Parts: sequence; C-alpha cells; structure tokens
Amino acid sequence: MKGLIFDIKKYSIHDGEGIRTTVFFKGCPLNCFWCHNPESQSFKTQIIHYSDKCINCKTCEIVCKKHAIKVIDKKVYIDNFSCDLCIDCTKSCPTGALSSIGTLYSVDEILDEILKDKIFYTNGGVTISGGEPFLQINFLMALLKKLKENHIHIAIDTCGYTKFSNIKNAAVYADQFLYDLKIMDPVLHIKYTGVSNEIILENLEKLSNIARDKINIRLPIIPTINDNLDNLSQTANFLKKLKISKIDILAYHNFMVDKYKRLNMDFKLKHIKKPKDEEINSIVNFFRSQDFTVEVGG
Amino acid sequence: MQINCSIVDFKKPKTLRGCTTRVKNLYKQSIQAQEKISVERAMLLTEFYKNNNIDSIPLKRAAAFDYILENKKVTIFEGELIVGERGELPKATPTYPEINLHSLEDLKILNEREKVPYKVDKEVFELYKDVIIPYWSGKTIREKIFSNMDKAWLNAFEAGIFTEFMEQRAPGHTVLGDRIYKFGMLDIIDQIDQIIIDLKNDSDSLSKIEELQAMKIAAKAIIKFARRYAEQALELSKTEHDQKRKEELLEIARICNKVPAYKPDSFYEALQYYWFVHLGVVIELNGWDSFSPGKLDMHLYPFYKKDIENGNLTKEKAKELLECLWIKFYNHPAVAKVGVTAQESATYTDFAQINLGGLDEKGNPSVNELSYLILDVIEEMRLVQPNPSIHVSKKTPDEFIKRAIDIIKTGFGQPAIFNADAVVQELLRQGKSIEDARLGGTSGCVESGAFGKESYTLTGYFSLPKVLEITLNNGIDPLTNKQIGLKTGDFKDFETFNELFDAFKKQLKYFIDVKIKGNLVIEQIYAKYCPAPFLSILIDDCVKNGKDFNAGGARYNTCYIQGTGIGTITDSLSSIKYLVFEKKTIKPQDLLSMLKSNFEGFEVQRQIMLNKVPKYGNDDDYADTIMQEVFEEFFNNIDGKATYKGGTFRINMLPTTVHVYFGSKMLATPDGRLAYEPISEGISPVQGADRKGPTAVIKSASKMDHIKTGGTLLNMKFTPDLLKDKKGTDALVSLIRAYFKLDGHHVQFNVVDAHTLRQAQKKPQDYSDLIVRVAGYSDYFCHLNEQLQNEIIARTEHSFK
Repeated sequence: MKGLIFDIKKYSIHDGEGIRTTVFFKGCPLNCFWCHNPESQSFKTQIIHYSDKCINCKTCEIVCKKHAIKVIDKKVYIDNFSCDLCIDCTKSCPTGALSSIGTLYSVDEILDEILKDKIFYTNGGVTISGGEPFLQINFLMALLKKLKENHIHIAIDTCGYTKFSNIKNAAVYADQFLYDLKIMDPVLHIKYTGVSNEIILENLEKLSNIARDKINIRLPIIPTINDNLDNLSQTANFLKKLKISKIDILAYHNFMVDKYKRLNMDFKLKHIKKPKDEEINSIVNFFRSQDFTVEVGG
Repeated sequence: MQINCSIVDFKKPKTLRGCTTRVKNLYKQSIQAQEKISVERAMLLTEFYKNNNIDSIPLKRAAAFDYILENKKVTIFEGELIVGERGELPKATPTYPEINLHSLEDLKILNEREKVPYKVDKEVFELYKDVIIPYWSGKTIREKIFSNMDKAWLNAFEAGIFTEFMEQRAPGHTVLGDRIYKFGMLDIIDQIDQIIIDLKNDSDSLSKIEELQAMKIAAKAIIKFARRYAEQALELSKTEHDQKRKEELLEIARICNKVPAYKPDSFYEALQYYWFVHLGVVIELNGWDSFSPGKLDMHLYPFYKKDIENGNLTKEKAKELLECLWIKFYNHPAVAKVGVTAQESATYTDFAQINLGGLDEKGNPSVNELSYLILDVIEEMRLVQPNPSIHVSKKTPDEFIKRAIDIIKTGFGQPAIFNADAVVQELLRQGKSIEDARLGGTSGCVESGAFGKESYTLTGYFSLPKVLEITLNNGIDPLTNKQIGLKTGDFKDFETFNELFDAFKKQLKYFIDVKIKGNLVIEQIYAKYCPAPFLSILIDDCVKNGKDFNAGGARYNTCYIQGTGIGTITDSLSSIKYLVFEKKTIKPQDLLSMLKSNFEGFEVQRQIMLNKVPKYGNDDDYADTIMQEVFEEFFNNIDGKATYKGGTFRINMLPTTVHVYFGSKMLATPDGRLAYEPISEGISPVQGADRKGPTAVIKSASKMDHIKTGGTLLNMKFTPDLLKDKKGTDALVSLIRAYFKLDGHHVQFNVVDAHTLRQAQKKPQDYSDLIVRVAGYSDYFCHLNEQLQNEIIARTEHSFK
C-alpha cells in the first residue's frame, strides 16, 4: 500500500506543539478560493517547471518514452494526453527545474523519514496535513498505527469533510486534531469551498463528544469573506455549544499566487489583501473575551 | 580566529550604547577611534634590545617587558572607571617586530586598504624605515620559522594544503583560571622565591632559575605599571573640580595601588586586576585570540554577592563597570598582519571569548545572577568583542538559553552556544582531571581547554579537499603542475572507490606528517627564542615547574590541527563514488577534464553533481558515512602524537575564514563547486547542499564524533521571523538540546537582516543555505520567488530596531 504525499517538512514549528515533521497528503475534497497549497488539491502527481532553473539541456525530452515533453527557450510544454506521469523527466532533470509534486510512499518509507527526527520530538511530533489526510484513509490508518507504536505525538490537520467513522477510528491514535472551520453559512460555504459544511459541523460535534480536549479549531481569516461579525459570532456560538475552547487564528496571505500560475490554476481572490494586524488583533480579542484560548499562527 | 564567530560591523552607530552617560561617552570614543598602528611598543623594545646585553633570553625578554611597561604612555581617559590601554590611545595597535616585522610595503597596504585599514602615521613609516626594520631584519621568529622549514613543508604551505598560525603570532588562545582572584602578584613572587629555594640541583636547575627570575621581573613589572596609573589618577584628582569625579579618581588610585600587587577584595578591584593582567599578556606578546578571562560570571560572582550584601555595590553599578570593561575589549583590534595575510585579513575582531554558565568544579551548573547581568551587558553594548558564549549542560535551566536566544534574535550572532557536557568529555578524553575539565571551557572560536592550566595552541588549518585534489592528480598540484604529494597512482586506473580512498589516505597521512614535522620545529623556536614569563605566572603549573608557558611549563600542553572543508570533501567523494564508480555515468578521465576546464562545456554534469548526488547535511547515511570515514582518518593520523614540549597533538574542526583562502587555492571539485570558490566552512554542509532543514543538518553534523575533537564549529542562519514568537524560541531550545544530546560541541545561529536578504537575492549562490519562515512553514530563501522574497525582506526590516 502506498500513499500519495506531496511534501514532508521537517522543523515545522507552527503546526502544533514543539518541533514537528509535517506530512502533506495529496488530494482534497474541498476547493477553497484561498487555498494556500493549491498543489495539494489534485489527487494526481503533477509536474511543475521552474524556468529560472532550466538550462535548456533537454534531458527531459531525451528520457521521455512517450515523447510528451518539449523544451523551447527554457519553457516546457507537456502533452497531457501522452504523458503517463512516469516522472522519468523530473527524476533526470539535472537542475531540478522540472519537479514532480506528489510521490508515492510506503508507510515504512515515511516512517523512516519521520524517525530520523525522533530526537527532536521531545515536545513535538508529527502532524498529518494535506490536502485532506482522510481521503487516503487506509494509508492514513496504517501510518497512524505505526506512529503510535513508536510513541510519537500525532496531530491531524483536517477539513472534516469525511465519514465520521474515519475520524473516530483515527481518534484512537491521534493526540490532537487541528480542525478547520471556514464559514458557518452553508450556502457561502458551498460557494467558496465547493462543498456544504453540514458534514463538517456534524463531524465536529461528534468528535467533541469523544475527544473534546484533543481539538484545536483552525480559523483562516479571509477578509470580506469570513471575517464579518456575523460569521465570527456564529462560529463562537457553535464552539461554545460544543464546549471547544482552543482556537488558532490563521491570517490569509497571498504568498501562493505564484504556485497557481505554475500549476496553470485559476486564482480567484486577486483583489483580496491580507488582513491588517489590527484586524487580527480585534478578532483575537473577540474570541478571548468569550473565554476561548486563542493563538495566532500558521 | 576571525569572522564567522560573529559578523556585524558598525562604524557609525545610530544610538550610543551603555547604561549611563559615562558609558555612552566611552562607547562613542571607542567606536569612533581610528584603528592605527602604534609604534610605541616596537620602539621601546628596539631601544631596550639595542642598549642591553643580557645573555639569558628569558631574563632579557622579562627585562624588556619591564622596560616597555615602565616607559609606555599612561593615560586615564575622561570618565573611565577601568583604566589601562595597550597603545597610547583606544585602538592604537602595537606591533611585535621580534615576531613578524612589517615591511614598508605592509604598512602601506594596512594604511591604504579599503576594508579594515590600520592607519599609519608618517612618523611611523619613518621610524620603521630608520630604526625598526634595520634592527629586527633577520632576527624575527617568522624568518627563523621559514628558514627552518623543509621543501616538502614549503611546497604544501604554498599550495594551500595547510596554514601556519605561529608564523605571525605567538602561541595563544590562552584563558585564565581563578589564580588572580586568589593571589596578588606579591603572593606569586613569594611562591616563586620559595620554589627557587626548594630547587634541587639537577641538569635543568639553571634554566629553571633563569625562568623563575624572569617571571619575578614580569610580576614586579605589572605591579609598577598599575602604580603608574595610581599616580596618574592621584595627579588628575588634584586638578579635578568635579567632586564626584575627584572621588572616582581617588578610588582608581587606591585600587591601582592595591591590585595586582594584592589579591582583590571587591568586584571593582577584581575587574581592574583582570584588566591589568590582560594588558600584560597582550603587551608581552601577540598571542592568538588576545587573552580571555574565561568563566567571568563564576569567578566574579563571590565578589559581586559579597559587595551587594554589604551594600558596597548596586546591580546598576556592577553593570556600569562591566560595560566599561566591554569597551576596553573593544578598544583592542586584532594585531595587524604582514605579507599576503595583511591583504586578506578582514577583521578587527580578536576573539577574546567570555564563557557564561557552564559547570563548576563539582559539576553543578554555574549559572548565577551575574550570568544574566552579563547577558544584559552584551545586549546593551552590541559590540563584536569581547566574544561571549553560553555554555549549556543538561543541568542548565531552559530560562538561561531562552535569555540568550532573546539576544541572538536581535541579529548579531552573539552569544554562541556551547555544550558544556561535551567539552568536559573532550577534555577528559584528553587526560585532564574531572575538576580541571569542568573548570574548562572554550576560547577563540570554539577551542576546548582547561582554563588557567593549559597551553592549547592552534597550529594551522588543514584543507581536506585540497588533499583529494592532489590525490586525483597523482600527487601533482593542478594549479602549479608541481609534484608536491606522493605518487599514489593514476585516478584513471582505479577500479573501485576504495582504491581511490586508499590513495587519499596515503596522501593525507603524508601531508599531516609534513605539517607535524614543521610544528615540532616551530614549537622549539618559540620555546627557545620566545619565552613568555608574564603569561607563565598566570597559568598553572609554569611557576611550579620553573618552566615557561611556551616551553611546556603548563599542566597540560596541546597542539591542535584544524580540519577544514569536511562538507566539500564529503560531497566530492560522494559524487565520485556515486557517479563514477556506481552509476558509471561519468568516466574518471572525463571527470578530470571537467575539473580542469572548470566544467566549461559540462554544465549538465555539474548540475547533476549539485542536485542529484547524496550530500552531507541531509541526514543521508550515504554521504554522512563518507564524512565519518574522512574524519576518522584525519583523527587517527594526528590524535595522540607527541609534541615537542611534552604535550599531545589533537584535532579541531573549524575554519574561521580560511575556507575562502583554501578555496582560492583550488580548481573545481567533483561536488560541482567551481574553481577558486570557497570550500565549506566548519562542519557546516557545503553552502546550499543541505535541503532538508535544520534538523537534518544537526543530525548529519552529529554523526561526527565530536568528543574526539577539541572543538567543532556549526553555523546556521535564520531570519528573525523564524524566532519571532514563543514557539520559535521554544523550538530553538529543543533544537539545541537535541544537538547537545547527540554530543554536538557548538552551534551558532546567525539571524540575518534585510540587507543580507537583498544580497541573497542578488547572489543566491552565496546564500543558498539561508532559512526563512514563510507562512506556517520554513523554507530556503533562495527557493522562493522574487515577490515572496520581497515580502520577507519587508517583514524583516520591520523586525529590526
């Protein structure tokens, strides 16, 4: 069994407590307008090209068995119909200009990488993020089991859009859930993420009944979309009802615009600027005044 | 030691630093003072040597020391509380013509060079031309060294296989223990007299008596020197109208009459005593890395505590006094070099290291209130010297590390962080007693030593990658086509990687033997011609043994050879192993032509070497195992060999800035490095070869057996953003703790500023290991797009004061 992983980041210090290794699962059921990791959405390996690193050596053209790739003036053209994603081209690219996003790993291969940093996990551990980890549930469960056997602290970063039985099974092993809440209004949720939030809220409620203390809510703040008092109040009320008290505020930024371009993806929020520090502070205060434990970070 | 230990220079301060107006004024005076060549010492020494015929070298040097101290200018500057200068003015830097004689051309270079100049007055040129050069020419230690080295040594030296520390400066890196806090110089003179009385008549007794008499002269000289300051203070007090200053001057007079003749009883007296001793050492000789007080917080704490309890001192006053001492250190630029080195040497820093924290002799953590107060001073003063470090044992509280990180965060590379437990293990392995090991620490850049009891000298850097270059060329230096190494076989004929590695081992052994043979002669030259009687009275057991510091009088004697470029050689060997012998995608003869042509026409292969080969710094055993093998070879060929003065050779792994020089003496290397570019520094990975973040670097670096060394140097760069919040600080503490659990010796975090980031944008190849925090994750700065880089630059600017 293999899982499709798009990154393993070591020394992650803002995805949970302590020094962590974050494993990014590829593929996501949501399609948020503000997605900071657009390369995480597709469930397929993607090939990406950095022309600034390209030296026009055409090694990729030579190794491609399907003749699906052409380099002209440090620009790469891939015929997606012929390309079978064998990634021989990225493997042989001397400069790394051509690279693939999404690599198949076995559980043991990931575990080897994770265990290399075990000495650093005194207060930290592993964060499983994505994409959406629950989309690869069998692989995820196998990995969680191994991590627990090795006494490693586990955090799962999820959008909550999955069958509750998946979350429940994972909760046996996970020490922490970083649970995203984006928009409370179901219609707006569909508009901006592509799916309804009904399952998400329901799952959170159920999870709060079995593992309340493990939950950290992650609240992305997207100006003009979810930073209005209405949405914030609804969020606060819902969390109070569930007796969930820990919130991480994640401020929107647009550092990933370039990634959209390279992936030939459409970026829909060009007009939105990142929130000002004052705005973030007032949101923090809004929640703190209602006895939530709030941290800014992400 | 130079640079790398901290890299900030600021001639034009925006703000004046110091906790009081007095300190601010002294700070201003020090910062704005021009670095100058002072001819005073050289002239006094020359006068003395011309007019005195003393047969015994120790006695002559002691008498010359006395003469210099008796006749040099003594000035107390406005507002000073700690008094005494090495030259006539702050930053007036003496020369040591008996060691190395500046030519007029050297002086011209020093005077005119754009970076790090030492101004030379017309009068100095004249005196050099008419008096100093004519007298010392042909008599210097440097000339004795070069005329006694054999062809093999000179070849290797010129080719950039190794450097030699003692060709321009005397043996140094010396650190004081607690001797001066327990004894006045008069006590020490009594001790010397007693030892002379007790001397048994043996074959050495005459030389012992001479040496002990010389020490006595030196001890008396420093007492007289201090009393000249006392007289000066008294004199000034007579005309001083400001009542407060008048009292200060009278207090200075009292203290300078008391110390160093008698042992100190107060915090203030202890500081002033240290400073006189410091001046004595740096005036007597130009030993490497200035001179260091060692565990300053531990030694001064009893005085501090007593004074505070008695109401004789306030915390604020203690801080002011320490700040005055800091300025004194800053007033002393490194001594000016000669020859090519004069052109290359690019720092005024002289690396007097001050150790904070660490352990006491019983093995308890010795962090105290004063340790924190000194950290406050470091943060307030932001001076590149003295060069402070914190020593972290597993018993050291996290709070102490966090306070240090607070300062590191502000972005000037200080303090460096050392593993106190590793230092103890290193010293124990070298045969020191447990108490001496615990009271040891580090000096210079990262060198371990038993403070107050050891002569541990760095003898020269050794370029590991250059030895590989010679091996690949069958003993020939491809830069000069000279046969300087052994004929270990043609690379083209090697069928396995092991054959190549065996050839490398033979060359390595050969060049190390050449270096050691040279060292033995150089040690003799210093032992015979350059005794240091003043330094000898400070370091145990020179007095007891009746033997000079430079002749093996200290309790422990160690000579270090410093390995450099472990990253470059590891990656080069990894490249050859992987591409030539395993994948066989590059033929040996083709590799040689690529290197010779500086990869001209072979950019694809070069990129493969840069990007597709396992590299040191990524926690990848393929490369890291090679690193371990090279390290063990280096270690086995040096460690344990006997030195001339009864000590032992050991290894260190550190570069200072020599990796730039060594790189300039090499063609392209199989790791993809271009000709004349720097090789890797310290035990850090090749610039940009580490792609997996700080934890992987630490894992790779810790696969080296640090305990077998006397110090390793690991530099890591971070942007302030990575440390901006509590999580950042906590994570860094965990990172440090993990490295030290793995026996890492030292780590230093360079928190970079926006200017550096801009440079990194322009020349990414030079900054490829720069780590930045982006948004929720960290990445290499040079991997980011321009827009994002600009964003981070903007953020970085905000986070600096």
